[in-house]
Amino acid sequence: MTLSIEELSKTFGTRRARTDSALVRALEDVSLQAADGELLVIVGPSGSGKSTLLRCVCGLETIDRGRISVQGKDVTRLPPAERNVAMVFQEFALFPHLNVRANISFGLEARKQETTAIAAKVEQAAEMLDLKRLLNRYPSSLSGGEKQRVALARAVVREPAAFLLDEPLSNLDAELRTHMRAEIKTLQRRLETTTLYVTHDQVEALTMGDRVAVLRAGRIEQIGPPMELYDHPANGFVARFLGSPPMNLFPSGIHKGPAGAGVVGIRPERIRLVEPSEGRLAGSVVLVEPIGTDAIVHVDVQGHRLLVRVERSALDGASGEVGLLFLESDVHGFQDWDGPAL
Amino acid sequence: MRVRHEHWLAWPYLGGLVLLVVVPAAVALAIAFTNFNAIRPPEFTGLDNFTRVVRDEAFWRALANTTIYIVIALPLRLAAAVAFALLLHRPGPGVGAARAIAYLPSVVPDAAYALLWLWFLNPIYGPISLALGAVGLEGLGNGLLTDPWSTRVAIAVMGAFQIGEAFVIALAARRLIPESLYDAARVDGAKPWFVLRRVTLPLMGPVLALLALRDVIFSLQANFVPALLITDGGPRYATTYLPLLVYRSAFRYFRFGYASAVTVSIFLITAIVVYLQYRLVKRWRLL
Repeated sequence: MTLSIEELSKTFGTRRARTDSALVRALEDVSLQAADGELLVIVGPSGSGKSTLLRCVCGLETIDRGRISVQGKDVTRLPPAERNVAMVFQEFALFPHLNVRANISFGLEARKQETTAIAAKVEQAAEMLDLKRLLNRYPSSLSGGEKQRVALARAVVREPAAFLLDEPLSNLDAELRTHMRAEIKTLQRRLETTTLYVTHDQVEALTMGDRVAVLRAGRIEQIGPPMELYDHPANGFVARFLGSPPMNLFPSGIHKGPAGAGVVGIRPERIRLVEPSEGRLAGSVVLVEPIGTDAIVHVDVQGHRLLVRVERSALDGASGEVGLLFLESDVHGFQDWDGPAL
Repeated sequence: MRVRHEHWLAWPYLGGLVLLVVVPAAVALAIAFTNFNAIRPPEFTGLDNFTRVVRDEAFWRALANTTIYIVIALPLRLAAAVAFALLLHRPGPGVGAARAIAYLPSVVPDAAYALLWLWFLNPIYGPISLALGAVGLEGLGNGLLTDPWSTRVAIAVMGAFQIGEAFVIALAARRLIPESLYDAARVDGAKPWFVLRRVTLPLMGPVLALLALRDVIFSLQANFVPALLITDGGPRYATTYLPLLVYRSAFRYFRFGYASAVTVSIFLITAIVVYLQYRLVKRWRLL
């Protein structure tokens, strides 16, 4: 195990605060392990504690309880510099007064490495990230994607045991994000460096992660391979959080799912639109949103809005009253809205 | 929608500026070419006053004194302002009070501040002299205000505490540097001294350069009060700075023409120094 976090808890607030209301529990009993070369994505809504988790791992935040180890070495009490991890920040954190070359070499110079060795490593990292022609430029003259690559190069050049990436794509536009997503994944595969990747974007999580950990209010809700999380969400929250559009959840009064379920769910792409009389449920179309080859159809079923993802060619007749057809095996049952899967 | 330019709101201020600064400056410039002595009507004397300035030993001595003052005081003042800013930029218990204390000497009226230091620097019973005596440096203590060099240094040190504005500006400059840069430096393994040298000071550079420019202009005029109230220009003319020379020429010897010529010279010297500094700073890519 390159990276191991055991029962980590972190509370923000004044130490002297005696009342619980003055304290913010950012992380509670978080445990996770990342194997050698694994890309583990931590995903959750804003405020779920994912950036705090990363800052705790790299040592920028102290922790209340728990243990963090890197390559078997307990680093819980060590300063950031001695943890052998490199972090890429959301806002890139490039030094504006240093050119690309000096930005990349900063960490090596700080560690007083030999000048010739530094130059060679910088060249290598620049080559890898296609930055060679930008080495003498300053950050202010770089595009978002270029800044991102410099920030990555700064981490790569240190040859750390683990990369910690804090929402590295959130400051890029949509097109570039897709491109950089692939680039980061390729780079990570090539270097085989264990990586903790924090994002709030569930698409990023599902496409990039070897495994995905869903964080909510400082607790891990579920951890596993992306498709396992998608196909078998552990609870209502994970079901709602993953997928675009997310899983339809509705009371079991509308459709009786597995025995004992208070809430049932079904993925939008698992539903077909049919004649009202042929479906398991019937409702009326409220809105149709075309998205390229597919379209999202909003259907009102007994006061609940269900989303159906269909091919655009199958839209004929998708107006007025429709029937919703799906396999009973595609129906998920949950105890309640946030409750565990049955 | 039509944008209304309310520039007339600036007119009262600009009017005052013209009346109180531009007009006297123009008058001073005109007087510099006359033999005006406040008794007889002025007569045009051409460049006589300026020739006299260039030939006057007192002028060169005052210029040297002022230069020495700047060379000692400017680094002290900048270093103090930056040090306070770096120590006090983070909120914490007592930091508010500490910031107020750092600013305080700049609030005290110059004359009161000078009289306070007159006591501090007293060579016989002043606290500085006594403290120096206590550690066996009586000679140094007794030389305060009587020995030219220790007096020059003392006046410069005195000025190094009045750094309120520079401190506030340096504080603002430090707080503009994103914390994420410091996080990145820490994770990268940079030690505090390395961070100060490679991150903090370079990023505060433009502001420090601006402060230095401002301080040169300020220093060319600022030491008038201590020179008048504490040292009276002495000992042996060691603290007769340019402003004091102007004041004496005009109001003790009634040589207004000559005093104006010195004033115009100070203005030209200031302009040249500031221009040279600006060029230097630009070459460093700082501004």
